[in-house]
Amino acid sequence: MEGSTYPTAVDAFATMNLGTTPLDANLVNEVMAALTATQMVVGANPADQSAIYGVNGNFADVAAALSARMQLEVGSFTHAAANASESVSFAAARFTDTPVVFLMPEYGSLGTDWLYKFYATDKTTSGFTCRRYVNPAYTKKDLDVRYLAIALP
Amino acid sequence: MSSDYPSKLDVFRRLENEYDELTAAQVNRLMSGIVNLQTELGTDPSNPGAAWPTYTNVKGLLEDLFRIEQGTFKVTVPQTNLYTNGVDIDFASTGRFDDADKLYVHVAYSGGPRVGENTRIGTIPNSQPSLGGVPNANPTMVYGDIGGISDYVNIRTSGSTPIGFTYRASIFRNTEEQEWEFWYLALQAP
Repeated sequence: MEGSTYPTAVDAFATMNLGTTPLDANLVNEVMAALTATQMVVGANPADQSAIYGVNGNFADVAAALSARMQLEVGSFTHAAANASESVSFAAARFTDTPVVFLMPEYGSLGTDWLYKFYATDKTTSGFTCRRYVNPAYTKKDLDVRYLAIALP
Repeated sequence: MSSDYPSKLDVFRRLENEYDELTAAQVNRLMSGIVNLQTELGTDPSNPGAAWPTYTNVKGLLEDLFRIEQGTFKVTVPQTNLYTNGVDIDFASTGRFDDADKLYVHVAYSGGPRVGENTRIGTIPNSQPSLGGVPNANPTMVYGDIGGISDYVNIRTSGSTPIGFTYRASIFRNTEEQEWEFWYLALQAP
């Protein structure tokens, strides 16, 4: 076998035994084919994503590029009633840059204060503060909120 | 001669047993190509760190990283003083999302036939925005006939699998029936 089965299947090389396995052109061709197939799947300069992300996108290696793209977290919390602010900590230490935070309330816990002011502020890499304005004319209830925190490369 | 990778893909000439004499340089170039490939990938590329799940390989990581869908839907809003009916939206993709706890859905107003004066609509338009946390700004606000709106999303599941969401808007003082189009983004975090 001189061709590579990659990427359909990982190449299976025969075990070489010193003195008994001939180191011949067929064997070298097989290794060359596997290496070429792997390089073609990965692509040239795969860690250089500067065409998309600018100067911050030329990563040291693929592992660093993937880590940068993995900086997002979804979580939920319950915001206490009334006008209190709520400190929310990220569950995992995923962020090296301060993320953008999106908030979306869940209807089920909503009280009659259905017109509200609700926003995230004081963001850091470890969490954010959520503030909420409630119309004093309405009944105040806890509110379940889902958040998306995302930091782009 | 060493490998050209990662600057460009290596080009090998096929060897023939009867005509080519194997040399150390040929084997060294192969080893160089493998080392360069591993160096470019980085060590343990499928496991970015303790803050993320553990993956078997890069393919598994990539499948978990890009679970995202966007789409549009329409809602007919009746003439009312307070409208809170929900509309159920199914995801177009099946099996793309598998963890409701890690799924986030965002909805934004994307168009409608009647947009005039004094409407405030969009995702939480009557609030200070979540995007960027800039106080006293309403970047998604457009204008029409509505006094005010706050909106909510409940993710619907079958078992633990997300299958869609319910979008519900509390709209205050709608002067006549209107049909609005909304855009949604669903994203499952790793």
